[in-house]
Amino acid sequence: MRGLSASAYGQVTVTQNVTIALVETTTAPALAAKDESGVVIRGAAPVESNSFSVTNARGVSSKILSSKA
Amino acid sequence: MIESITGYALQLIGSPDEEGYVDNKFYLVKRGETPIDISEYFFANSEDAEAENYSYRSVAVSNPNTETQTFTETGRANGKELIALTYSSVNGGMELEGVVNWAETYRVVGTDPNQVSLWAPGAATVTSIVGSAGDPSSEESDTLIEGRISITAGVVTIAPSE
Repeated sequence: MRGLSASAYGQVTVTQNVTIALVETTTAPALAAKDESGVVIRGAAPVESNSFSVTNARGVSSKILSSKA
Repeated sequence: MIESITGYALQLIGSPDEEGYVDNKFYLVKRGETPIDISEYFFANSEDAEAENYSYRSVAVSNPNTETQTFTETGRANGKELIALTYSSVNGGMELEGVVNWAETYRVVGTDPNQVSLWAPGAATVTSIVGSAGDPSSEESDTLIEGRISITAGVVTIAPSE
């Protein structure tokens, strides 16, 4: 910072436009596969089964042993 | 859970701190109206997974004959970072994760005495967004949310001193 008065900071504004593109998918109850931290695993399709496994984009495999469906 | 807000643009707006880092928040913006700060309802947090390239250079040249000095600063940075996005409303909320690809350029804007140095944000994207949405008070199950966010390069404006 060169020769700058503190009051000048408040006069500078940076603006960025934001575009959000999200898709919402309804999944069967309790069948949305989640990893250990509880995050829904990408691409996991609702499956009418009590036992299935999926692998997400990061190569993490999760196995759902039971469901409430 | 995904809602449409018609007539408003979503923007990140902020000002540089004392070290030149831009601290920005989400706003809803409409021409002729005061921007609405929605950072209480929609915000991002770092998830401590980040890779960053950074360079900064300053050159000072003094000329004793003319008793003048020039000072030049240049810098660039870019990186990837895992972030958590949170949205909350009266109908529930969304908890998302995504990877933000960002870039910044060190810039000096304005003229003395209103000259400011800052890391100006470039265009950015948040990809691989995935998470869930739901209403804890509802009997309905959570829904799966996927997608991406695009952010344009920052436009820097400096108001004249009063």
